[in-house]
Amino acid sequence: MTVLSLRSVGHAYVSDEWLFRGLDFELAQGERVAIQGTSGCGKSTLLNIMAGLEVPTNGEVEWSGQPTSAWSAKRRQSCRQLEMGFVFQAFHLLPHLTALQNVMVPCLLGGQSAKTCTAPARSLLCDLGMDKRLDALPSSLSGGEQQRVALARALVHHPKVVFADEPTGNLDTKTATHTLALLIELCKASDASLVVVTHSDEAARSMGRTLRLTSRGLVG
Amino acid sequence: MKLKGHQLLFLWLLKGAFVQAWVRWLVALTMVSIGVMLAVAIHTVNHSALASFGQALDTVNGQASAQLVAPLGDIDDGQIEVWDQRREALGIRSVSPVLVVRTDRLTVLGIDFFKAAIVSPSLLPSASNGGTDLFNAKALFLSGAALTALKVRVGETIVLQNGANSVSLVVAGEVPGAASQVIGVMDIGSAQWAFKRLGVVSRLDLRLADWQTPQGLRAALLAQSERLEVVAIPDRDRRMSLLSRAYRVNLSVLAMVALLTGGFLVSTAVNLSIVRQRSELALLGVLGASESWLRRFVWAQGGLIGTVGGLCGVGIGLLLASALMHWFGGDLGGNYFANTQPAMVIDWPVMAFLVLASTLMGLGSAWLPLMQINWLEPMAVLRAGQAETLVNKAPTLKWSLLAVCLSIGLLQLPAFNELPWAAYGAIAALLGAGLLALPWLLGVLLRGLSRVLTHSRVPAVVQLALWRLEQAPSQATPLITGTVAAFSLTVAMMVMVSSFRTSVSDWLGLVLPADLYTSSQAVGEQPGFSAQVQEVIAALPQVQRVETHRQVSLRLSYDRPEVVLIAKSLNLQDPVQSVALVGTAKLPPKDGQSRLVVFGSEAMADLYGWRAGQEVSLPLSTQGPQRVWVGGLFRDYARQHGTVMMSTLDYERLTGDHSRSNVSVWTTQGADLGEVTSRIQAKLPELSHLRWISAGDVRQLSLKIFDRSFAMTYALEAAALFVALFSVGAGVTGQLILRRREFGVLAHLGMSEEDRSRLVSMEVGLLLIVAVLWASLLGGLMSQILIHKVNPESFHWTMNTHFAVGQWLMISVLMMVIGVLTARWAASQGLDPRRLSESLRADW
Repeated sequence: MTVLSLRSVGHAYVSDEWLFRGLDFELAQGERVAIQGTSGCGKSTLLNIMAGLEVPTNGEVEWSGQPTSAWSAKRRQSCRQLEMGFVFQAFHLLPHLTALQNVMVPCLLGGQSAKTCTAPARSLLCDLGMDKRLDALPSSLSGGEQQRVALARALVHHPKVVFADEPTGNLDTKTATHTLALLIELCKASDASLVVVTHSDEAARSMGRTLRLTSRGLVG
Repeated sequence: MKLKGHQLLFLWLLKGAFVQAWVRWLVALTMVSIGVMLAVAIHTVNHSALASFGQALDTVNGQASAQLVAPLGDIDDGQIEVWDQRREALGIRSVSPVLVVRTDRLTVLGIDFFKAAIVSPSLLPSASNGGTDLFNAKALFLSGAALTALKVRVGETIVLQNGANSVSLVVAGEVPGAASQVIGVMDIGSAQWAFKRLGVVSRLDLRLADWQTPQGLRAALLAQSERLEVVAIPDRDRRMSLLSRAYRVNLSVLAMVALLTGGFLVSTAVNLSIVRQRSELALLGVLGASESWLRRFVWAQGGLIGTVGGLCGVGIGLLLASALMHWFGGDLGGNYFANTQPAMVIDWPVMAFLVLASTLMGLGSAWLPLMQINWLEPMAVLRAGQAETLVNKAPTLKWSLLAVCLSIGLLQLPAFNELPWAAYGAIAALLGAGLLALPWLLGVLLRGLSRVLTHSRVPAVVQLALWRLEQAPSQATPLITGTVAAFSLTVAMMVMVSSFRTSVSDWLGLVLPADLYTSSQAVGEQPGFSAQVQEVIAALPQVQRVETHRQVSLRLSYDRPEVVLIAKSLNLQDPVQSVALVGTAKLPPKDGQSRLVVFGSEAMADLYGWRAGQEVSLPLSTQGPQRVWVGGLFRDYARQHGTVMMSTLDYERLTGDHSRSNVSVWTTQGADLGEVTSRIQAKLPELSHLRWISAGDVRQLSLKIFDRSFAMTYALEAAALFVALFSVGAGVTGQLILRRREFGVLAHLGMSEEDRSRLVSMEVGLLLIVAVLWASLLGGLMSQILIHKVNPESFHWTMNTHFAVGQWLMISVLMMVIGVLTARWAASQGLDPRRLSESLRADW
């Protein structure tokens, strides 16, 4: 089943200076895709367009078969709350919330009560070996630990798709390999699709499909 | 209470924001509290004093429906019979004469017990001994409060001083209806005799028929050209309120200025929080938090500081009010309620309004930070090197020009309800215009400076500072907005106070030509003393010249405070010799007609429309209004409700009053003033109870009172400077957070720590020079509105502008030096090399 499709998508920040155009892409449920490309080719912009954070200059983005161009900001926001997860290179944990509270944020924003979302957040963090660090603030966590909290936050609300922008860019090779393996495992476990933007060939190889972004679109 | 998930998250984040910046929050909260506290304390003390005054007057007036009073002096008691005959036709049920005698220890009311039983029964004493004591010539009945205050018991004798008279009376009983006020009641005939006021009464209390109203009676008397005036309770309340209203409103506006400067601190604190939280807010936006939810989060920070600050301010303000009333009674420096010890009366609706105003101010102060968030591109913020994404387009010059037009428009409006609301609005609009023009001003100045220095050889740090400021004026603006606002208010207040003080000092020089002064007015409405004292004092050794004059209250309007009539020797050939004229004298033409010349203070022009060279009516004679010629207007900083000056000869001819209330003595050179005073007191024992004071002491005392009245303004100037410095420190900290990566790069490129610090100092120094100069210009303009609009419309006096250049230089240099030092300190905290390296690591 296709979760996300892009139909003839093109994007230009300045008119007639296309970052990419005529781009087609389909993401199946549970599929894992790596996107690579040279610096400045528009990988992050493409990820933003897929996640509904930016609107393409032309073309259509479909989410579960529904065109999203006519969606209101509220509908997009609701979709991000409930059906997407995000992982960033710089982790972006909220500095004054504990590890457990950080993981609970997507569920709370999605309208769940604190009581309902404490258990899955705690369980996920324990699965990731963070059971002793539940009440720690981000400033006291190592880079690897912070990224594990970020992974748990991306998956705690069982999203359909997880978007990761250079998720291992700030980690050493060993931790990066371990973190990526964890991300893939977690996505498999919850049958979530995964789209990773990365410069790392090793990271790309661990994904099911690798695409290169060029000005003519995504090349397999 | 069970919270929903996003509500809980909201609280977590709010708590996080506080934990992250609790010092800044506390400082902002303290400033807001100080503003509210001042407003609460000022209002509560004044409200309590007014309530106490009202209660006192209610007691002294009994339950009369209205009163008849004479515009000048007392009423002939032969009139009582006349009014008894007229009453039925005028709708008056009963007329009760009252003689009011203010003694050194309490107010004594002489009443006709039979008539008072109908008109004002609350003034009736409890009759012991079968009522025989009531008409005893020495019998005085005291209220419960008077018995306590004077520490006497029924049966004891007390001595009361009224002017030069000492009167011994016996406490014969109590006045149960006036328990809480310090008053005494006695038979009117006995009072006239005891206090040497035979043949006169102070007022006639009236009980009106059911169909008559005070307004109806006033209209009927006006139609009959009646000299006596009707005063009803609302008129009396308005008069009492007008007495101190301008002073109270000015103090309240000062408190509001404190609240406003507190608002700038809240804005700075919230702005800095937002700078720190911008990546968190962006992340929440990516994770699905709605824009309105995020906006609410920012509003909540400002609102929370405003509300908590407001509540703390009310609490501390009430405590302060209680302390002020304990130490100073009901007076806040204006001398309107001196010697009163009122009970605290809390005006809860006003307290609620102040908390609401503080909350709204907090919410309003979150507006600027909100404007700076680019909600549409949250991911952009999560990428590194996006400092500029926080700043939206700066307002253009047109908004500033619009605000200037608004200010000019408001300046054309007259006072509303006798208060300068439009002028206050004009000051606010002018301040707004100055702040809105800041980005434009910085752009123009910095571009110009950069162009001038392009071909000059300047150190790299200076060049970098200029480039940076020139390219990002919109970022520099928030750094100095608070400084410009606070400093301009400081300059405005400083110029106004220094102009006022200099004008008062010059005026004192003009009105205090003699060496020694005394006045019977100091002890209240005392009867005058004999005119013969002038000759007696003039005959004493070391006395060169003596002048005496009479000062009495003159009622010109039933609902306004009385004006002061001063009868003194006037030089009508050259009035400047005897009156501190504003403008030139316009004496009547020599056309053979005899005209009576008077001079009016500036308040007479504002309140009663007097113009020099015009004829007006004054109720000086018992025969009816007297036409007088206004020979000129003079400055009077001592009496804001109006003063009329006329020659002693004219006054005596019209009123028949030959007494004096003030003496001025010129001594020979080198005379010992203490010795002269002793000689006068020895020669004139009837004046021994009066205080003699030298011109130097009057001057010193007056300026001391002036400084006490403006103590609040001085405190506010200090607070405004603190706000300015705080906003510089907080602004620099905020900028450094945004620019950490920029400094990280400069560090990697080889810029030393000292050079980085110098770069920040250079930028801040340049900005502060612009801020101080711009704020001084704005403050100078605002001071002119204060001097030429607010003061004349509030207090009905003018003053000459006096720029305290020395003071201005001092606070400007202080501001710049401390501002740069604050910036260097903030830079040393924010430009730690370890943090700079981290900031570059996060780039991707």
